[in-house]
Amino acid sequence: MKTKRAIEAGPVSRRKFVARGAVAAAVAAGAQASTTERRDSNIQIPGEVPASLAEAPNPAGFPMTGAQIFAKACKAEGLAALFCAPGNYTVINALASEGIPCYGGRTEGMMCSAADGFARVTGEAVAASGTEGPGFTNMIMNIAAANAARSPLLVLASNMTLALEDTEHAIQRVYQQPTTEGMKKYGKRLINPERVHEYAGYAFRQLKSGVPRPVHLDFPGEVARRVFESAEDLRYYYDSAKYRTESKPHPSPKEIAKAARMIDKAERPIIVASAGVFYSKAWDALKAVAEKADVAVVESGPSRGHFSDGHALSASTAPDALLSADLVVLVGQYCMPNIGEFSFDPDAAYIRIDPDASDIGRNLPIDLGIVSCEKAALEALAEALPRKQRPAWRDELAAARAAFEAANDEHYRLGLKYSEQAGCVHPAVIAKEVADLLYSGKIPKEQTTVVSGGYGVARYTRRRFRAYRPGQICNGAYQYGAIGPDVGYTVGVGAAVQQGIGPQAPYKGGPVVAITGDAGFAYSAMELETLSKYRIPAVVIVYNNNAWGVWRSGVSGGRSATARAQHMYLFQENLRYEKIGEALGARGEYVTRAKDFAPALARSYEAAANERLSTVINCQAIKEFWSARDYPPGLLQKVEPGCMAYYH
Amino acid sequence: MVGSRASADSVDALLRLRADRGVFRAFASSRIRGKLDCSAVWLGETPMRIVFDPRRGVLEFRDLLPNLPFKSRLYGDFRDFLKTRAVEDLPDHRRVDPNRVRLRARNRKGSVSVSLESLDGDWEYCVSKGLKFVNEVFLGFLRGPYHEYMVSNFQEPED
Repeated sequence: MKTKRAIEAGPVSRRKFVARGAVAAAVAAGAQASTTERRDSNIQIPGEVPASLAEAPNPAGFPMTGAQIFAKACKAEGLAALFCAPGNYTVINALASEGIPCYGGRTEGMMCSAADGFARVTGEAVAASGTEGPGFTNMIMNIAAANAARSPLLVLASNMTLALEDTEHAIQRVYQQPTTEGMKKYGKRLINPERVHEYAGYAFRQLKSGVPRPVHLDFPGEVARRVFESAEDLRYYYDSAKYRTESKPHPSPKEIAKAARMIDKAERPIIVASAGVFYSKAWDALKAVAEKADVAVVESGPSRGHFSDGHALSASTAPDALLSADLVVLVGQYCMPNIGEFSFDPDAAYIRIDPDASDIGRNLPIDLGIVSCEKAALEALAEALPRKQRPAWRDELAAARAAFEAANDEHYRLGLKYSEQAGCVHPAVIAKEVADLLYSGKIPKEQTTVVSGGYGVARYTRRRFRAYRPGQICNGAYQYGAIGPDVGYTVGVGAAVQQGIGPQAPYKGGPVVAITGDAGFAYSAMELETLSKYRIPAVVIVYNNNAWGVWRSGVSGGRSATARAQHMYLFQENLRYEKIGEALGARGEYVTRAKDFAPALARSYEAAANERLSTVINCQAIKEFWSARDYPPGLLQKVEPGCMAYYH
Repeated sequence: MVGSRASADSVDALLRLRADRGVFRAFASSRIRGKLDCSAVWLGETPMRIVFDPRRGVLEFRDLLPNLPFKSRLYGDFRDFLKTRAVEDLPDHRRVDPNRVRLRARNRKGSVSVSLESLDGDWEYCVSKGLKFVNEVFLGFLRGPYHEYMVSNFQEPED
């Protein structure tokens, strides 16, 4: 358990990284032999890639195929990007020609997660595509995750031909729509070529209204390849203004007045700001409400940052204060917790604001329900609320935040001790050092967008990641609990920053940082190649504890622990995940001592910022760190909502 | 009011109010030898037993925490946590005033019950503080380093 880890000297890189400021100091301090850098190799990005990316859009004109008609509709609707693996050729080629940013990766599933991650930090509708059969079914877990996260994801897949339906002619035949049952908002196998534009309208009506969720269209060859000579060959071929509306539901003045009275009367009101605040871009209205009446705000949902963690009224890092709230206003909480899942007082009153009346009242009892677009409701509330100060509530929030930070510091102190004892890197050290680099040094604290993934390590890092502006954190495992698509999410989040889409615009081109575990990394590691191919600069930190995060379940903690089960939870020890990164065109860093992590991180960030190179930092740990008996506090639990939340 | 049937009626009504508000997903009460005996499905799937003895003025959350040996670290931590609920540093809305309610834990063969003895006959205060305390045990205290206990005893997901 306390074996000293072997320290391996790696080859010295020829790369000369420009050292600057605090990062430079960390780099200089970190010239240790326990890290390795990217080996020189003949890995090259083929010239066709930058040449292809530099090609000007070539929008189609009549005569057009069904795929081109569909692609034009997507372009007109502002589809923000496409993530795919080859397949569904006519559709993805048409989307690329129209000028929609496209990314081709290694597996359909992880590119689907890339699209999901992109949506979570931009708020924009985005597409994923795969070929019929295996390409499509490879996306299932990822579609389910996007569905649970309520992402506006357009899933596209080719699907052989109508003419040979049911025949098992050739390969890859499958009924797609039943497969996505229960994990989409709308789906359709397109069977009528003349209606292809109309069904684009069906898709975007769903993606751009109410509560978003995946839309799944499958394209038989007769639809995608059919050639239309003119608009007269198509039905319902008209502008989006004719097939959908930008109108949003607005709250009733009576209900807003009642909500304002309830908030005014409450002593310790709190808003739970979730996905709907982000997707309706309501962060300014949210801030106005909070500041007008000293209403605390705690975040939940698949992304964070629509209320700054740095605000005096933020409760996202004040878990102990949640139990003090006497009025809870849930705004855009699409994925509803049950009683006992959110840490609120049993006598707290609840207001729920949601665009979907049919969901209000589910799981949690309400004292007032308001059907409305979140932004419209918050703007109305900001008008209606009387100005009020609640100094005692502010003080309580500040005290709770301080207590939370003190607990984090205690974890760090223990983490350093345990790292020394065990000869490896404790997750509390990783959490602290990442936070120091991103939020306490010369890098502007709003700069870096983060993919917060992993399982056990995330229990430590979530406590330290901070969001100071919308879309700054993509909450990887949110709700569906998919532990593993983290590198996939990183591709999408990195692409969003690379393109400067929506709230990522001011940070365009900057590095992204991702955390994942060794188990999770296995699911998506190949997408390091996609990051490298597109020069998306990312620092991917792999917490390598030689085991599945639920290892304790097979040993002593689970309901059915048995020694015979243990092997199923374990990997070979000291695996070199950073070499996977190197082999796929990224850099690699292997860190086996706590003191070497910060320098490795600084070097990696520097390489991302200055050379657009991604890095895998393989942090060697041990599985026993999850034992609360041997290394207290062990595997941390979480309090929701707030920075630790990932169920809801 | 202590010892009266009216006090049991009051406590029953106060608990039922939480059921009507949807805090309890299910609730049933009965009278057994003068005591109010309630079952509430609240923070987990297992019904919680709440017993009120009007003669003694004691509200008890019976067998709240199972499989908790007296000498275990978790039980020690729990007793420490319970003591902190009365400290003056806590704001009133989080504190159990020891001049109004006596908050106790009892461990019988590894099964822990929590009781609140009302010292002033204010049943609303007693019930409210009892529910807040139990809520805080599950949503605060047990979110500490007790993951394995929660998995084993309260169907907490291992993920």
